[in-house]
Amino acid sequence: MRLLLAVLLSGGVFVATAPSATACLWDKEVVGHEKQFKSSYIEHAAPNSTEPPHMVQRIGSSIGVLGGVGVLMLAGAMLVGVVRHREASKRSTSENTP
Amino acid sequence: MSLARGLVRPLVFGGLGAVVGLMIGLLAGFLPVRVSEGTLPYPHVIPKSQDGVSLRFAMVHDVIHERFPRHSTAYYKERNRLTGVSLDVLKSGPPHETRSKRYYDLTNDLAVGLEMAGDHAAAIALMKEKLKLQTELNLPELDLYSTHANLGTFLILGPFRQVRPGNKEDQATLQEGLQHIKTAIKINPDSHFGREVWQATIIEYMIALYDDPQLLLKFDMIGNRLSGGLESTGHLGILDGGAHFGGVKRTGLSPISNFGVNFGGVKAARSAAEYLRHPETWEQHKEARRQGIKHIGADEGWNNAVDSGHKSQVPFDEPTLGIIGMWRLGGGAHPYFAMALGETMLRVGQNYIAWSAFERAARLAAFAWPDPKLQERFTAHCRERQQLVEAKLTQEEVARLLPAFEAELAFGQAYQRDYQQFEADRIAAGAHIDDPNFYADFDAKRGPIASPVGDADWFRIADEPTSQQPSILEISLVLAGIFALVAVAFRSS
Repeated sequence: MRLLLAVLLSGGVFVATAPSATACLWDKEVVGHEKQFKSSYIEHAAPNSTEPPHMVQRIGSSIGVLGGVGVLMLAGAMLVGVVRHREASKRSTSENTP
Repeated sequence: MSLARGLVRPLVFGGLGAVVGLMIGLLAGFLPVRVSEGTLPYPHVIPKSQDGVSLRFAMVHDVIHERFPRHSTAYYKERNRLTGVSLDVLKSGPPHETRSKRYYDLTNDLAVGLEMAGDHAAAIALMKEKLKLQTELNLPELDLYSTHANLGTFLILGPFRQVRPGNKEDQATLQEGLQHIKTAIKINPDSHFGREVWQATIIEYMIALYDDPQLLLKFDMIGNRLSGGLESTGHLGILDGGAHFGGVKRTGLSPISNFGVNFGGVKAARSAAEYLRHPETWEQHKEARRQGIKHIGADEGWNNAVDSGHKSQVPFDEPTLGIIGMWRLGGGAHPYFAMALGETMLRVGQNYIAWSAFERAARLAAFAWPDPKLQERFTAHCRERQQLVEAKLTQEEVARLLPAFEAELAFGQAYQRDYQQFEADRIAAGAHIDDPNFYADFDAKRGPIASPVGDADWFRIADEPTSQQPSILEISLVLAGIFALVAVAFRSS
């Protein structure tokens, strides 16, 4: 009985005050409302800044461990290249010496 | 000379390696981007159409707390009186006057005014009469747009105001209203700023609820699934897709997932910012605008549960704007609206707004369905969602949520009450409602009701590299070293 009463009362409240869900009413105020609504919120481009931040692509400034390894490998290769070339030159000189 | 000749081979191959490294770095997006500190918009601030309205989170906050003006019944009654006088003048003139655009426009005004003043049956009768007249005259379809839009809306209001589960007549009325709304969309898809699509969706949702009221606990009106935690479904975040965020620190809305720099994120946002500064450049920013807006709704199971034209996920701002429009210009607060706003705001990380929307939905639960058990479970879902938000906040922040909500809602409702009282007083004093200065005194005294747009729609970036990924220079140096070593090793062998 109590449950039935609750259902009926609930239904009664629902019928009496339920809000409607509409969007598409079309009258003389629709366009004006929309313009006013838009101008209330959209007028500023950004809250704290008028200029968008600049963006510039650049070569990374930090070399880091990986870069250090690369430099060492390059330096090592150059050293090996110079030493090998020097040894080859010496051999070539000694072979050409009578 | 000998020293220089020894360097040629490693330097040539090292140089080649460096070039390869640069190319790999460029192609893989390892080139750091320097961005001066500043503020950029999220893509939802760009409207879907050139002259359309774009979303600001302040709009969502404001509808939830009733921070917008609403006309009084006194206003609509006075408007109806004036419209009736104008219609009588046309009716007493030559017959063609009653087939003029002005006559049809005035009929729309009168019908909407009757509906808003509470005369539902008269509003429907007037629109049906207009439709009959226009159909008999074989007018172009476009002329019938407003008739279908208004009649469809009036028809559905009955079943929405008084839900009678199992009532076949109500279901038929909803179907009839839906057909008129669909016809209106077909005639003029861009009218009503895209809102009609969402009005059709809520009708389809309501029709499905008549068949299965439990749906109320499974999906909101746009198909966001209500069950399950959001963390595990990957729903959080304001943006979709995109690449890693390399090299640039950004703060602001949280969480912001996957907002890429190298693959378009900041670039797109800069494009959006340029558009906002220079709206005439709409065409130039066509590519970048609205990229990556978080998609929501139509979750798994929705298409089987609801026979709806809304079948796939959409950018979150589209249904949000639709709901805001329905709430503001239609019948006002509704639990389906509040629930959908809560679920949507939760999915884009707007926790405070989401909490408030769920609070509003819980308070409107009595209107969700005339079954106390369903109402209880509807409310319980709102409380669970609120707890999700609260779990991310400190105790002090949680303690402030409810008082802040109540103060904001009281402020909005008081504004609407005072606005309506002002209208009634001015009309009683003989003021004309079309007088441009009708609200001047009220506006001067109360100021604007819309909340200021905060920083939630923008994010800040700063030139503070945070990424651990190798720089393009590092990649070049490593490859230069490897190539040079291989070159000298190859020669020795």
